[in-house]
Amino acid sequence: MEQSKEPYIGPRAPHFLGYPEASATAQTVAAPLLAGASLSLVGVIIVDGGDFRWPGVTLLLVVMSAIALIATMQIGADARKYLYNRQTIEAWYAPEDLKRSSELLERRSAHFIQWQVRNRRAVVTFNTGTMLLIFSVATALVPPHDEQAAWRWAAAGLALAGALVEAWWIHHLFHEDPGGPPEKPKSLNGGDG
Amino acid sequence: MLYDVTLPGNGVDLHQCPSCVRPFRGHYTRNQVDDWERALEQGESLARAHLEQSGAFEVLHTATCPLRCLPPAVLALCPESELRAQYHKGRAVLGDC
Repeated sequence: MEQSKEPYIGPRAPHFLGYPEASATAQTVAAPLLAGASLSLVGVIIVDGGDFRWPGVTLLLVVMSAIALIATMQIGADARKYLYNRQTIEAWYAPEDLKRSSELLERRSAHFIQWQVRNRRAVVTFNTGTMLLIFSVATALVPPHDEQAAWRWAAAGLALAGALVEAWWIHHLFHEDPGGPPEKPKSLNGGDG
Repeated sequence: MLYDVTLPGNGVDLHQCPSCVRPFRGHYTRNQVDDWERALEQGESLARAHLEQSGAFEVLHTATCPLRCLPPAVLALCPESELRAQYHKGRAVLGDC
């Protein structure tokens, strides 16, 4: 019987190496700002509900948006604890500890997979929250009476167009071609072979 | 930084083969890994059918990648030791694929 040799299995890493940072920025900078904007809009609708055509619908959308964006921060923070690289392990453990236990690197690989699974949930809630926020802004802009109606309809239309662009962008991000094989790394001696 | 903050949306579901680092897309669950194990237990023809149906041959591995005959769910969700075990189980049933 053929003896199968051990396959090469490299360390787990994101395909786009900047993805974790981009994702963390969306979850720790954009999500709190947008959640704050949502909650401000909630306050405005509660106080001046008469100035909106559909205050109830707008309130519902904006509250759902705030919940989704706050969930993004919480789920993202929970996911983030599973993402670290070899340098982090080396900062916590002495080289002799690492030599004694390969379990740490194995655990890192399992944790990276956990991060991917949990981060996905944060990404889905972030995308949902931003979509709901744009829809709530669009409904808030619909004029309640004839005064300045044309301008407000135009603004509401623009917000809806923004929602469409956002939906397209999200779809694009979920389906974009990751590209072909990675380029061969350059040789460290200046490319002389 | 500005790019990350101003552009809405945040893509996911991009993985890469742990051996040949070729990228592939898809959302996978542990149930799919369990399905693969069940297919392997039922013999070569079912395992091959499962591989075909799981999209394993749509992942653009290098020609010599040792993990090219594993379903994408296994590549995406199994940590190193489990992946090695899956490789050996797969080879025992499918040979060199």
